Amino acid sequence: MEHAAGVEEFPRFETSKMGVWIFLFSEVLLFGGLFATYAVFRSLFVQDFARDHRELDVTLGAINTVVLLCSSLSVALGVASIQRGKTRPLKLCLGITILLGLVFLVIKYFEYSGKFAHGIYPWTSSFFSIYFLMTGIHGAHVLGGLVALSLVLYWTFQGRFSATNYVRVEGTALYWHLVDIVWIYLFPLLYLVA
Amino acid sequence: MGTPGSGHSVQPYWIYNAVWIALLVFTVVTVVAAQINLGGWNVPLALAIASTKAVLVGLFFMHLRFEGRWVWGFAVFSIFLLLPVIAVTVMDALHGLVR
Repeated sequence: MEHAAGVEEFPRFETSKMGVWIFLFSEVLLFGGLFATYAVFRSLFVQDFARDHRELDVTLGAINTVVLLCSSLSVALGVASIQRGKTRPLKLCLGITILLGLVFLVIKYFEYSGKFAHGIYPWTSSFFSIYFLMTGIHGAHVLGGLVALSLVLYWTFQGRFSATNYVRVEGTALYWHLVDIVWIYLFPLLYLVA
Repeated sequence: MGTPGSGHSVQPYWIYNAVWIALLVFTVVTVVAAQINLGGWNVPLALAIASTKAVLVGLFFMHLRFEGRWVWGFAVFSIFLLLPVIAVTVMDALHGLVR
């Protein structure tokens, strides 16, 4: 499956990537529904939002934003490496991305447990119900992304990818970037200007 | 690079690093801007900064700038489907409040 397969690889590459993009747009609509809920809650419970968002730790939220931006960079560099046929930097980049994803979840865990320790739960107020709902679903996506990234790393160690065959790397990276973009909106809307 | 066709989009490494630095700068800007009371303009400003960051991630990290009309078509369609949905939902909620 050397040369002839390489030629066949191209349309498959394009269609596979198209499939990932369609999946990503369905995710956009899922999160869009959540942002619509946020907008409704926010316009109905102005005081709740103004008061309760101060309970959130802006520093932790900002650190997590930087963590996800760094992880996006590392996975993008990973894709750029395998495009050039380099698997060693791909392994390194995937490892860093997974590590940063774990850091994000650990920080999120401390934020959640801090809220619970202060007696703040999803049913405490309209703001916290939307906060836990949106960050919870986003966190689940981070977890899912970590599983996918780990699989891709495993396949990289198996030598499954090359400069002409890396669509699973790129598809997983695309998903990870989308999760980052969702957080780019969540951070200011929940931590800063609620 | 042995990369057949437009779908394989090879971009120099420095572009990724430059975009990453821009993203970090915008993160600082959005945190600082939120400390200043701009009245009703805090939210539109935060959303504008977030959207700028999202466009940077999309164009350069996700290689959207190399994608063809199909992916762009889906992108434009889903976003322009989403915005009126959010707007009308909020209008409906506020209308219920006024009554």
